[in-house]
Amino acid sequence: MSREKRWIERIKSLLILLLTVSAAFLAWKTGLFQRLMPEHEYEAPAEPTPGVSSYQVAAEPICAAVTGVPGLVYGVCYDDKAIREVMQEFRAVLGETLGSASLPVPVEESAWRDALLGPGVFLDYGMPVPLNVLACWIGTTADFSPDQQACRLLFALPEEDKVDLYYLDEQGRAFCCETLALGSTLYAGMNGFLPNGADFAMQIDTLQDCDPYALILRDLPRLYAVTASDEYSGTAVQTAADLFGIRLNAGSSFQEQEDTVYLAEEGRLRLEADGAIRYLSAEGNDLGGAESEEDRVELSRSLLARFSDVCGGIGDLQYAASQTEENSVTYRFDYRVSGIQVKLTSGSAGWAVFRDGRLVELGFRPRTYQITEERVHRIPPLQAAAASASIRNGSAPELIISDPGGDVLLEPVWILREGRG
Amino acid sequence: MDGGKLKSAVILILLLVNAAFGWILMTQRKNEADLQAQTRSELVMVMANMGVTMDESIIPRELTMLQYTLTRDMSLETALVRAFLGDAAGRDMGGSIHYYENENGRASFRNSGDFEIQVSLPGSSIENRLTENGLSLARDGDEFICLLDEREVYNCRIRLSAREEGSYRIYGRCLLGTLQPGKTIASLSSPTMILRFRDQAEETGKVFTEIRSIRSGYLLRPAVPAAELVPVWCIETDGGIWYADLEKGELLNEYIPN
Repeated sequence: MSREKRWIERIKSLLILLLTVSAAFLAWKTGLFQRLMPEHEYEAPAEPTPGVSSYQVAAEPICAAVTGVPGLVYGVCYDDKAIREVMQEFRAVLGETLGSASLPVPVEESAWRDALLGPGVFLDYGMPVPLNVLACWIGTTADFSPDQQACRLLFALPEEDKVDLYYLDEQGRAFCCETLALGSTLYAGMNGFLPNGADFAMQIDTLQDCDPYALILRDLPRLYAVTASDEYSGTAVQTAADLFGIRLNAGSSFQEQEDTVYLAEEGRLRLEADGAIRYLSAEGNDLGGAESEEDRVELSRSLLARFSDVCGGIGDLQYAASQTEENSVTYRFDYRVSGIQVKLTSGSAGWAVFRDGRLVELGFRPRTYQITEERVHRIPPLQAAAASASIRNGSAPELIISDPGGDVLLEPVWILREGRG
Repeated sequence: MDGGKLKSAVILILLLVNAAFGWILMTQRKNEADLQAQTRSELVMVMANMGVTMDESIIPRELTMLQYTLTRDMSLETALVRAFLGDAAGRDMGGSIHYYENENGRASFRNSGDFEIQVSLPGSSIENRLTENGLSLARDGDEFICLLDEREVYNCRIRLSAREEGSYRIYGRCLLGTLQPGKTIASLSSPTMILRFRDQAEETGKVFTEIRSIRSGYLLRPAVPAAELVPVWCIETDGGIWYADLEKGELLNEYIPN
């Protein structure tokens, strides 16, 4: 073959290669390959990993209200998504408010009432929460004294660029703090929450015997039945064993009444007949300690969250109460499902006992809650309050889920809550 | 058939195949363009039937944007303070509010990005001092618009207020911190976004009869531990300005009335 012919053949080969690549490219651009390739098999989404409890969820109240124009309220209760939207919108400025608050000054209840009816953001926690603990969960630090606890907080806008913090304690006493938070930031967030007909009970003529600061919604959010089970209790037991260094198969267990007790050098793990898992440190041992109350509460919450996380489901563990005795304090936690409190008939969902600042006992009742598609209808809050002939002395209707244990289907029900701060 | 003739035949076939695919692709592109143009003009008619006028040219093309997080950076904050005040001791006032003061003036910074500086200096030097310390800005009269990826951050503006004898108050909200890119957000199709916007706006009870412009940008959502910069559509109407999430078209709580 002559040299010239060889070059022509090489050019032809190159041209074939280029045209082949070009044809493949154009075929891909026209979508031909996608049509010819087999359909991908549908892959079901992986089972969601067990929830990772967040300290930010711990800061969520039971009810929240945003009052833009005086007297017109956007209120939300029993709806964790809506509560989360409110907290997400205002978290930064609430942190500034708590963190920069001056010394609380007692004020007349009338001052609290007037502030509540003016522009601001209202949070109802349903139980007394130490303000330093709340600040910690909102993501800041505060300088309140340990005995300053609030059931209800109000971030009020007395003037456009000023935020005052009001709160009611468990005894119903009102306090006010000046803060360095910017009112304009709070006000800007309020624009997006349009009034939805919610009122405080004191604004409703027919509810004058009711808790005056109970938030009464015009309608309830959609409610669904919930299943509850102990399906992950075994996993929770293993988690406890791993956490406390207990070897479950080591033969160091015995029966005590109806409970099974596992022994280790540093303590004992008791699996109680009602499903509770309780760890008690041996004399001279403990699970850690903390100087300040907010650190103790957060240590308790974060340890208990490890158990609630392995149980999965939609239950959130929330701070419920603290009990102080001689040299010990117990912090209790309960579940909340879709923003509705769960009352376990067997006791608290979780608890932590500190003695002289050291954690000596940790207990947990593993429960897994899942939402169903079964819709539940309940009368609206205003009707629930009006229909209750027992309303007196500042009581108020409250929606709860009562959980007797075992594998059950549960529905939220109205109860009458005693008056509180 | 010898090799040379075979190759020539293959080349001819490949040329025909390329021409065919090329023609299919051009037809597809033309059909898509025609369909988009038809969808746009029909959208304008549908909106007009609902009582809202809008020009076809303002309907944006679909796009992708990056989401960001912004973490407060104390070193950037102190650098900005030094640029305006010189050396000034800082104090934590609680709630992560930091306050600086010296003989030249004072400054405060917050987690939300809000800040304030009061200082005496030539007004003409203010913009340089801000931009030299990492802020990307565009001038808008007496205000500065904060920019991210050359797009406006709608709720971040820096304002100037002249006081007595060459003293200025510089205040507002800015992106002073460490930016971390997050996921890429693809926008909802524009017709779907506009119709969804109209339905959601109607539910709020706020009235408008004309959509004047639709632009892409960001909103800063202050949060702990890091703020989020959320890609949004800024929809300007004769009734006010709205912001809709780029990905799902959901209205955000940043409505600004006219």
